Amino acid sequence: MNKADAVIAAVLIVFGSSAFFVALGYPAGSRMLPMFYSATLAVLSLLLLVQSVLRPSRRTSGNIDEDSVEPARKVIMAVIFIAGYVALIPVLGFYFSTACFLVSFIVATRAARLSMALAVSAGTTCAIYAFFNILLKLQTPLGILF
Amino acid sequence: MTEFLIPAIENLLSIDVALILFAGTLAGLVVGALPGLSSTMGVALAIPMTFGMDPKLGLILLGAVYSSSVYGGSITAILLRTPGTDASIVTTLDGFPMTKKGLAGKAIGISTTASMIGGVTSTVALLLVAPPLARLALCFGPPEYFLVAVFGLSVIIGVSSENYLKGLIIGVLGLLIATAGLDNFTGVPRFVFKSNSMLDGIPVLPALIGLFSLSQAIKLAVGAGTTLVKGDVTFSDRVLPTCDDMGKTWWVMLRSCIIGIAIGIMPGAGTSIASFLAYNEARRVSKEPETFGKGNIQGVAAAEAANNAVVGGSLVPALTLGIPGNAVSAVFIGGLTIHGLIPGPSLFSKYGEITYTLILSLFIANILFWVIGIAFAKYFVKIIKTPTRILAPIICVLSVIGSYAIRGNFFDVGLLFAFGLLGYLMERFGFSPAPIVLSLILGPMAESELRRSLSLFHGSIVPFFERPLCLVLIALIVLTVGYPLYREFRGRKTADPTT
Repeated sequence: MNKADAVIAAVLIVFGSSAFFVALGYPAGSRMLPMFYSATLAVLSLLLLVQSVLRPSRRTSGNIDEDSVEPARKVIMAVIFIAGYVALIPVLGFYFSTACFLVSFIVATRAARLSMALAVSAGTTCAIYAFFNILLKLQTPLGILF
Repeated sequence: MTEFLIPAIENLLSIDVALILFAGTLAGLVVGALPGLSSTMGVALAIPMTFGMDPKLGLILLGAVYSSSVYGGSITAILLRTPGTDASIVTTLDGFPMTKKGLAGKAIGISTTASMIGGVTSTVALLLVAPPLARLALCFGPPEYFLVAVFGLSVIIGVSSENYLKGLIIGVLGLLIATAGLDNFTGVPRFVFKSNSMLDGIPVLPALIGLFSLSQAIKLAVGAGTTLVKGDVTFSDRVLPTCDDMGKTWWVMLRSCIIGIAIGIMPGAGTSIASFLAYNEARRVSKEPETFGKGNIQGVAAAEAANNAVVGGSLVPALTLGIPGNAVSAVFIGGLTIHGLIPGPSLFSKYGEITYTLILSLFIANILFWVIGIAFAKYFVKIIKTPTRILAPIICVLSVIGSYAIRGNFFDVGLLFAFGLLGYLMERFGFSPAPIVLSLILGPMAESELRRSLSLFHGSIVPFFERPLCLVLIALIVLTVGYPLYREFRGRKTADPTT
């Protein structure tokens, strides 16, 4: 049994079924395709579930070479860092959050020393400001504090 | 066509265009040369940079990034046996053996020249084939456009050859996501969860940037290595191809260009398939097939001419019918739409000047990457020494600013994060993100044209089988879906003689 595929299939069956029942509440024309898509998704996911249960588990599942799969701890850390960065932007503003994110990420992943991290952070932030704000005159997210 | 060519040439004769072309070509080369960063990601990240630009300049930038990133992958493929993009996998077969023989410069020179010839030839094809195809599209009504969208969606089968079921699941999931937002026909909000930001539906670009850029940034951040590749990357032999090299390869290049253009126009088949086919063909007709894989210059020329010829070919259905033949052209369509340019006949009439400026700029971009490639290839390899954990957060920052700049709505940054995580998880569990992109782009078109057709024909689907153009499109859909499945079935039967 391929556990990963089975879990994904189960999640998609629940998702497809929920979407189907939500779509049932829409008027006739509006619900036609959402109902068709959600039912198809549930049926295809059911097929994936059956396939993953019937097929013997192999060292490589799908396209993944399990030797190259990144450790979950590192993935969670990277995702938390990015989520933290996204959450900080509305508070600190884009540029201050970006500078903090770059320094903390580079130092935390031991990509470079603090001095190098500060240089990369300052350089990148200034380059983005010059390119997006001054040259292209695009708006960047503002925060409460800055 | 001629009435747009002169203004298009005039548009190209400006310092702004020269700077944009240079910047786009350089950026594409860097993205292409960096293993782990794809052409799709390069174009996706470049789109936000085009917001503040004139549409002409924006599209020129995207075209330059697309063309040069496909070539850029060959540099590391030849020098380090590490293809920068999928397109250059085949280039490693003969490129790296040439490097081992001390002929790295020669291999780089012929790959750069073959890529340029492939790109220029396919741009000629785009210039000649696209306008008549766009005129044909003028005859299309809602049923034809619905079938064109379904034809585009049938690409999902082509891009999911490793697991059709998973490809279909992701494609249908994308279609379901694409229905979110206000229903244009009834005004009913669907799957908006009481969020005003969702009323316009899921914006395609934050989703694309999340799926292709942020997901790769996560991958780079948690990867095992500190740099993208390891190894000695210096060479000193002559880069500019000699007349003898050109004499040995010109016919191979020409044949590979034709293969690349044809593959590019076909939905679902990408640069790597084109280079595999061209390489096989070059080996098949060669008088010395045993030298292929051991450093044959024709092998490098075949692979590189074909993969760059796909660029112009893939833009033929993308610009004329709005059908993305591969993930990069899907992103390219996203870039067109944010500038208010809807793929179809209007691109070759109402917006003809912009479209022809883009097409003609591709000629210059191809020549420019040849000049830069020949002159500076040996310096590009130093870029790949950039630590991945410095590159990853910079990609995150560019992704955030890119997705925010589209609507100035912070909700899009949240979507970017969600799609980035989704893209990472999808790749980790063997689901390709390409089908979801095709669905997000073609889903709304399929729905609106189907409902328009049904209301036109009072709910009947019979007219779909009575109109000649519809029948042609249905046949194409059956062929696109049926052939890969038939090939898979045949392959399994051959592999298992007991069945």
